[in-house]
Amino acid sequence: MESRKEENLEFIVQGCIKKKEKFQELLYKKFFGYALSVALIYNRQRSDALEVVDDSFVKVFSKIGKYDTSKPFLGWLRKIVINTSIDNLRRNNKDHLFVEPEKYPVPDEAPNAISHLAVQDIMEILNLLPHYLKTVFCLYEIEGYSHDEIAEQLGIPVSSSRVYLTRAKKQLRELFPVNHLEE
Amino acid sequence: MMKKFKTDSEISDQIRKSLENYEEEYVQGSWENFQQKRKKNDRKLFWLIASGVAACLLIGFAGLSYLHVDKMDHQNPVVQQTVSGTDEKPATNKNSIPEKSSSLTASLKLDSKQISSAGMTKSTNVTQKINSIATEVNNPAQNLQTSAFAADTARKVPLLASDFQSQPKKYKADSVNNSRDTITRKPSNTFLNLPAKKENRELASASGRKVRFGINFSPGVNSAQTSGSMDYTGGVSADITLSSRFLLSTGLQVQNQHVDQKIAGIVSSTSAPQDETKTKLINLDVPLNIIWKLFSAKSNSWYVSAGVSSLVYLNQQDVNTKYSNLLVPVSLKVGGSDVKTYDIVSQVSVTQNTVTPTQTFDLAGRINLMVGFETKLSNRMLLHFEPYAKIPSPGQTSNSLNQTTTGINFKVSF
Repeated sequence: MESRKEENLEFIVQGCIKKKEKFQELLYKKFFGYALSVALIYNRQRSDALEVVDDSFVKVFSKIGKYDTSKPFLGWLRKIVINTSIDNLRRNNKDHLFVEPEKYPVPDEAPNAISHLAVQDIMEILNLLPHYLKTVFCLYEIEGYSHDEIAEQLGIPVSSSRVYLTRAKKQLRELFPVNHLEE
Repeated sequence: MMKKFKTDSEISDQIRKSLENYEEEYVQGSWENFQQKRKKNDRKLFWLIASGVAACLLIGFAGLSYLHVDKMDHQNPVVQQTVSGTDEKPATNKNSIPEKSSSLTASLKLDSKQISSAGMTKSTNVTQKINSIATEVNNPAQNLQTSAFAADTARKVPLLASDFQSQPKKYKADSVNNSRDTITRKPSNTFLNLPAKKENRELASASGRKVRFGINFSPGVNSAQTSGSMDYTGGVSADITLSSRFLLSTGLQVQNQHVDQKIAGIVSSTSAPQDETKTKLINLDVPLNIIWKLFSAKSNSWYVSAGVSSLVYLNQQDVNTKYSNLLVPVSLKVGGSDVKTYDIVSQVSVTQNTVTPTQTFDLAGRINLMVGFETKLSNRMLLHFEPYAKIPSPGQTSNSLNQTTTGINFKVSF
């Protein structure tokens, strides 16, 4: 079943390499949800995340010829979405990247499904962190980036990356007992 | 039973586990929005490249023609003129002088001292004649004579002297007039004698005017975010001839625009209609363009044009329609128990905004790019077809109209 899926994906990718719109639509619809979920981790607003997803797919379709089919497509797509989110973050928040908000922002109201309740709670808690702390935390803890890689990606010193991670963890410790999760 | 997280790793693990299998669902209409966005970006890219290429071509050709003129100025134009003048006229013509005499005509510009020092001693009569003619010539081009040219003349003068000796009467009668005729002619330039230039002059002389007035009408399309909107422009124009290749074009245009924009907002799963902005606008457009004629034939020519337009807004009316969905809680009784459900209620809000006339002015608010073709309707009248693009320049005051207009301008000039 899995191999059939992979074959199917390879078929779609080949169609996208040939710039066929039908296959591009298939790929877009197939991986939209995944791309959006990654984008939502790095973007506070849902509208920003949707924009990032579209920008990411523009990159995917233009660079799909360079995609190494021996590697998992999801990993490649995830990397593109993260990089696009970081570019977007750098472009839009250049002036107030390092400024901490006076009060914690109200999380974006997205439609919740019951099955996503725990995820939504976590997203809300993450969104309470200042943008840069959240990004550093996610890149380090979720994506498994090193501090050197984070520093390079965000254009900050390595020491700053370490400091941001420590601060993010400290703030999460304070937030988690309040926003407790059921065992 | 509640669990409190005490360590950082516990928190990180919990977050990682929760997000591991988290995936959003496909949002209806996203692919369509994506396609529209992509097409818009492609259009932007096309115009960016097209305007870049047009600007480069314009600068390149202008530079090239400038270089050509410079190059020709460094050569001796008078010599070329006299030689070519001789070639055109047959030797039997009463007003003509023989080929060797043409060199004499050129040499007349030499200082009399130079001529005598060149060893012209064969005939003192001829020398005196030359000196007397030379004193009559007060052409500033004298100063342009080079030593090489002097040497060349020195070689030719002995021959001339013998020619004059053999035909003394004919020379006495005609040579002075010929010399005067030849010298008073304007310096020639081979670049300016290109066929296109010659024909261009013919076309210009056919109109015989320094300023040509015209009336024009141009339907166009505005590149709105999601849909194209029609645009009609009409007015008067004036083309002022700067040189045979370059013209300055200005005028007064009235532009009537209807812009319908659908604004892609946050896409929701309930697929609410997109917000709309309808703008009605009348504005005055004062263009200032440089026209450069590329090719000219007898009755038609091709040209490119670039410049800026200043805009005055006479009337602007915006109607914004916003659609939104609200979730309204509804309680139902199913099997004796209360069940809480949500209904989606659509809301439409319309706002209207009118801008006071002549309050908004954009100096050089647009960049104009144009390719044109003109053809002769009659001796005094020309018909022009001009596909154009008007690109908003950065910092245009009216952001709601920050869009490119493309179309074809039909113009009759007289």
